[in-house]
Amino acid sequence: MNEPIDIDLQGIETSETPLNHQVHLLRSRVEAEFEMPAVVMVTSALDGDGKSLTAHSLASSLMKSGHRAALVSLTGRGKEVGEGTTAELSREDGSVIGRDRLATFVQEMRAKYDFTIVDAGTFLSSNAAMALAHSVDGVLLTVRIGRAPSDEDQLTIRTIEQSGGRVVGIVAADADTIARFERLRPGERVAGRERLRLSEAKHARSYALPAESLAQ
Amino acid sequence: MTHVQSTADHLKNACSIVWRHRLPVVATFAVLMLGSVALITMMPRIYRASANVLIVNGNTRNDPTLSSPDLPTLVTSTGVLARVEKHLGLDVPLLTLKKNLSAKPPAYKSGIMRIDYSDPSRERAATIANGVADELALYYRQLSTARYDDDLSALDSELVKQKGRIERLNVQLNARVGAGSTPTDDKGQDSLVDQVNALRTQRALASADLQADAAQASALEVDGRSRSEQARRDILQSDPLYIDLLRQATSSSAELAAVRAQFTPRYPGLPALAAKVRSLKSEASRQASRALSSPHAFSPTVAAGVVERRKAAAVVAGDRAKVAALDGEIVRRSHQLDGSAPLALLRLERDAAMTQYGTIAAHRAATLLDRGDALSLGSVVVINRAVGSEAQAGVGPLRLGAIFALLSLLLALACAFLIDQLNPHLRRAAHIESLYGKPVIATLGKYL
Repeated sequence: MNEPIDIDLQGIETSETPLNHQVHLLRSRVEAEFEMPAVVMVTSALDGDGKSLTAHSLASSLMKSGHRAALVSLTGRGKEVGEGTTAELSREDGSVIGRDRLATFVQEMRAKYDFTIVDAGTFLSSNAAMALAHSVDGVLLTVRIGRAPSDEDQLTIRTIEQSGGRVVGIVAADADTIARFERLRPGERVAGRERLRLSEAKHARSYALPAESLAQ
Repeated sequence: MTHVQSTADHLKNACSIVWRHRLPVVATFAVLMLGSVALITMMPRIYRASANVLIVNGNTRNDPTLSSPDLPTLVTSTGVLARVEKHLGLDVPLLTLKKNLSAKPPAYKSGIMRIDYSDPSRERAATIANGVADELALYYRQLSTARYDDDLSALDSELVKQKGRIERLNVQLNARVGAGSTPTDDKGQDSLVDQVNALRTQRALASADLQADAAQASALEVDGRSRSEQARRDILQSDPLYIDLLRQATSSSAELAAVRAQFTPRYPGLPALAAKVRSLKSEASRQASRALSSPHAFSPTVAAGVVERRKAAAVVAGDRAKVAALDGEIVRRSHQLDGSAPLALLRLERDAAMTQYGTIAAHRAATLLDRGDALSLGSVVVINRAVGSEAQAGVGPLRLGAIFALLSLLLALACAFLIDQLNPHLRRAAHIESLYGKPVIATLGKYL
């Protein structure tokens, strides 16, 4: 459980841990599914299903594979993840971001990056995610392995499709892996109960997209 | 799913399932172990004692014994068990004895058979195992010599009978010889028999004479009756008055016949003449009667006949007396012989009994030899007696506890997997795909 998740965005070479291998497989599926440039939204039906883990891991892997990749967070936690990454879109205070603004944003991201991964948060509780669904090239839905099924699951699917979005597939994330990822993010609670110790803050960089990468 | 799970992944996944349900696993294991400990504690301890017997098997044509594969059946037979029960004074039912007793056929080319007995008491187990081994040896020996023993028993009984018979005959013989009334040697007995036979011959001759003389006397008696008419005539011819009267009657009758020839019946002189004739005949008849009845009447023929008859009667009487005398002698001699005849018979009977005794004794000796031969051909010998030991029948408590612990652990682990399987949460890709209607394209973290 104390083993760090080895996704190092700074280094080119990475160790072949099982998780990295799974991420590479996910990246391969994404590369096969979408034509560059592409904007992919990662969302889920319930909170804690591993959206950020999936988005961060996928973006990191795409970068390491030589793509121009960007990670955009709609959850408002982008400040902890990377400085200035999602400042314009993290409006979860009740205001509605206009469709035109979102379409422009997507066009800009397409122009800048081969792949733009949008960490959209819980779909049914995010106006931005609902508004963005029809603009992106595809939606990846994450599910935490071991949680109980919920009515929100099918409701999310139906809502995405009614919004004009296209669900490409499901990414199943292990609860332990999610918890370890959340624990390594400074200022976050692990499963809503435990705060990350400062001594572990150094690992957070492994999951953070550097600002200069997003600025490319 | 796009990846292939390895064995290590499966193992890791299984371990994670167990870890996830560690509390039910521990609880199930604890409960099962507590139950196992209680069960082991409550289980009665059964001890098993073993005795070994060596089987010497002849299997020749004279060997009536059983073959080795039959011996385990013989061990648990009621014949052996009943003997064990009686000998040891057990109050255990035969069925229980049979149930707790086990014996396997000797291994190939081995003559050693192990007899096991299981019992809550180790001393009792050893005692019964040894008792079974001992009784098996005895029973086996009895089976080997059973037919000879039966023959010997019958021969012994016959020998005793013959011996008693010989003794009885000897007593009778001694009694007869001690009396001394009869010749005791064969020569005297033969002479006596000859005498009796001669007497019987003489009696037969005398009897024949008697018969002949009696027949002659009878003939003379008949002849005497036939001579009475001649004697009557002789008496009447010697009586002048009768002759005269007879002559007158004859003359008158001739005259009457002449008159009747010349005259009719109405002739006057005819009745008188007829009456005269009748009167004369009547007188003649009276005179004849007087003459015949007279004491002085005499007939030489009759006198001669009487003499002959008296002589014949005397001869017959003599013959009868002779026959009677011979009968008496024969009876006397026969009585004498009767006294000596059973003696010889007794001797003959005694000799026959002694001969028969000798024959039976020889047969008995041959049977004894055969029995000894059978004993040397097949036998069971107890070579290792059972002693009470701590060895328990079946699985010991420690081993049983280990087995129960292993089973409990397996059941607890199975319980974990069962709980995991029954868990409605999203744990498998198929479940997730059916819920969303979309494919699972990747997994991060633990494999599904």
